[in-house]
Amino acid sequence: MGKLLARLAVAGALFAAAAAQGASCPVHYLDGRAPEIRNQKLAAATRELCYGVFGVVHSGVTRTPLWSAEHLRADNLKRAQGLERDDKFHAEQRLPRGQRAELSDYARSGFDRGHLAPNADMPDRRTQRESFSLANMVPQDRDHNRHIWAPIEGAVRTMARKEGDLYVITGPAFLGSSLKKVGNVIVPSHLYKVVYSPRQKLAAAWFTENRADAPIQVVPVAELERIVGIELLPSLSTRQKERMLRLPKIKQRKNRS
Amino acid sequence: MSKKKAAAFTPFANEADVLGIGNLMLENRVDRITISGDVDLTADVAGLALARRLHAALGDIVAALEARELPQQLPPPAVTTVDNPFA
Repeated sequence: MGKLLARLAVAGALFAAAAAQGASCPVHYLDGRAPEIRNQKLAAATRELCYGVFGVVHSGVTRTPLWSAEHLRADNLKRAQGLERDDKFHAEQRLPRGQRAELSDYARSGFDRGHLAPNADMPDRRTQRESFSLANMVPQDRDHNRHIWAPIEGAVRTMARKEGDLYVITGPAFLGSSLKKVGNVIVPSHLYKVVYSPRQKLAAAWFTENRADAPIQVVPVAELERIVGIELLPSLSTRQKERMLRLPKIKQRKNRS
Repeated sequence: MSKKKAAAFTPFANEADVLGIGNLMLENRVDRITISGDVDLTADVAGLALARRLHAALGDIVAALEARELPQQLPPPAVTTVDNPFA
């Protein structure tokens, strides 16, 4: 009897966990629709991973996410403030060993483990822990991470507080004939961040090379979709995606003088 | 202010640990500690607690570096080049 109850409790917990994971992904996307991969080579060995406040599609080829999507809300950002930030980077146990990044892949690589869904967006301890999964990371140039990307992430939070909410998709692009690799992880040539404002019904994206002192381009989502081979906002028409949301100007923090 | 038990942060011991001090983030790597973000060490009780935490962490880092044989400079990182599988 006790045993049966215990087994039922375990089954219940597993079911609850599975339901939570399965159910939480569409809420991270505009109109509940995840990006659609157009370059079929990108679709190899992909898996969807759902977390509390972000959703990832992970590539077992690059051993990085292909994107990380958030529905960024002003109330969640308020909760995020003042959270204790002790944490641990970790390999994603839900991914098969042969497809996931390990901490050792990044060791002595010279690259930062760059969050796609930023730690500072996370409203509570659980989601914060989740954001430190390597399934939410790409190898990112140190200076790019700190002087180009951090200001962009800060600008998006400021914008979300003003707008009330935003849909954000952050991802790597793998362009060019050859790519860098650290351990088993392929280094993206570029990074992008798509921002959609439900209030203004407009979107635009930042797009930069993954290197120090890279120029920061602002592009229409339609153009970015063609570049990366993924339809990032499939519920919008091409015409809608050719119009541009005004994104704040990013003041690139200077590296050491 | 509650006395927080200091989380274990052994400098250079792993690639996992992250220590948060205000908005400062200390990231453990086997070949470096990365410190990013900012923090106000305010002249109040909370500021003292943060300052002590930072001081303790930096003390541990200095001690760990002093205790080992150090090269003049780290060797260059091992980065390889592969054909783009998506091109």
